[in-house]
Amino acid sequence: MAPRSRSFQSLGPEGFHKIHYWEWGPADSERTVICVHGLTRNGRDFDDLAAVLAGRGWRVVAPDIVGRGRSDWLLGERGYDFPTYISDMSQLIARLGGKDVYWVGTSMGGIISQFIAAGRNAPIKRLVLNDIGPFLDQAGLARIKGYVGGDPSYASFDEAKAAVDKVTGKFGPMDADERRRFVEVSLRTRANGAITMNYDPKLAWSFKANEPVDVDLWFLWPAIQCPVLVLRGAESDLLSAATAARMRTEGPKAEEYVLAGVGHAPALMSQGEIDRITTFLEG
Amino acid sequence: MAAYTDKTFKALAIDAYIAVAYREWGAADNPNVALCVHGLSRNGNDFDDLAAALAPDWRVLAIDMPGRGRSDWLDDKSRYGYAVYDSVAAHFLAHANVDRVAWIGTSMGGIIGMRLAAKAGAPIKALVLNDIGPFIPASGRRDNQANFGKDPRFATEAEAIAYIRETRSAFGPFSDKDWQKFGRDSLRQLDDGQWTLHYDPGLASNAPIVDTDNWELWPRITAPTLTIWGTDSKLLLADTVDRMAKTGPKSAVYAVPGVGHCPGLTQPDQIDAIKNFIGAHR
Repeated sequence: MAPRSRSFQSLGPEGFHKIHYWEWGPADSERTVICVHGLTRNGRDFDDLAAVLAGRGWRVVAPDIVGRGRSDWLLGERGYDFPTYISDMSQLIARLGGKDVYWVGTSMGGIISQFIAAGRNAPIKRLVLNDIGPFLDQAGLARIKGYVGGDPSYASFDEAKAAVDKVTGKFGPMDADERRRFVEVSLRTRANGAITMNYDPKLAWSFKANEPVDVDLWFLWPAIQCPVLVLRGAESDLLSAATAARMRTEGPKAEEYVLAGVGHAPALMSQGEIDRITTFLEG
Repeated sequence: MAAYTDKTFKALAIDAYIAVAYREWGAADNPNVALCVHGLSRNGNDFDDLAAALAPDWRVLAIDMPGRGRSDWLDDKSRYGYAVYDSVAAHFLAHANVDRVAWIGTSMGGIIGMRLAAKAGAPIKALVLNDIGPFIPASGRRDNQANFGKDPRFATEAEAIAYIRETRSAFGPFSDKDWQKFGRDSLRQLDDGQWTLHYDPGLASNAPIVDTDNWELWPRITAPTLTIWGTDSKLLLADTVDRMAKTGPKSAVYAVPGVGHCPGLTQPDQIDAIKNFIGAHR
């Protein structure tokens, strides 16, 4: 099964910009799930999950957040922030029919979705948070600050893969073939043939401008009305066991699914993850 | 009258999601889409006659902006304004589900159209401005808003329609039948049986009414533009129309003599002017 490449013009801080999205499964399906990737990733991270869900009759939409993948880059750096992302995703929901949707958000994609799900009359029916919650540990943010936005150039795929592997080593579980695909979608080729990352390095501005601190979004949690499933990598440095425990007992009282031997973030490629998400979304 | 469907979609209004209503005409799979956006105190039903006439060639979507018609009202009345309108309109453009649309805006709907069409990458292929332009004199705005937000009550629908006809006499030209429809579309019935206006009285603000100068937008608009002009309009003045025709997108102008603010878009000649213009830019 192959996805359809689609896009629309979204209103943002610099006028309209193109938001590209991959669409899988029947476009007229009653059930739409939007899958949103992490900070430097893109919609292709959900290929495996999307193929399974589409086969079960879901319409699966995996956008490239602005500055990533095939979406437009902004001219200035300051537009790369949550108000833009939240507005873009709200316009995407309108694009897809303007009815309530299901949601899978990895890391940054899960932060966006917590803001959306906490809004009054929120358009989210069920929410999967992948290794993210309402509290982000400084340690994880410090690690990300160490590699994001470097704008490297690599002469070969193997060289690029080594660099990507180094900073995403805790993503998993993945076998060798899955890791190769994970790296392939992380990269793009410049006009001069050099290989670089598949995102605009300007989007890292807030990491470069600020010292990492704990980020507290607990004010959102009680406002989230829909059922929530949280996936947590047992070795995550961004989502702690203590945060997940509080997510289970407060507000929407999330279900939790822990992946042993994985850090930030679960790759959503294994049968166990895909089954758990499918069961939750269809529950 | 051709068939239509009343629908809704959700849009983000700052930090809450609201249901936005619209009326859809024509074949759902027609890639030629026209969006219609009404004036300050009006709603999407104002475009019924135009939409019915366009429907054989166009998919037409006529929105009720927040606080009007069948759309949700905002809890915080201070949020009624162009920041929310631009955002809701952008959701509407996305919802149309085509690459580019023809935009037909009356008064406030034309201002939103100008604001969006002036932005880089705007998915607007043709712009129709009904009795509105980049400059509006304070006197005209004051005149237009004389009864805005008064929240009147009427015992009967007939009494309410008579009030609409008296207070909105600059619209037209309308037949008696047009006035009946325009009047009915302006109203809603309360639980106690009385009649009142369809819109949220909280739309009216106490902000001082001043000249509106949006000329900075005009040179940035690249979409082909048609201006429908009521020659007696107090909001769109002759010298503004002249500058609109000569600068920026060099608007085509269709003058409707003997009408003020605004042409009602029910007369065949007005409908044909719009149909021909957007038909040439589809």
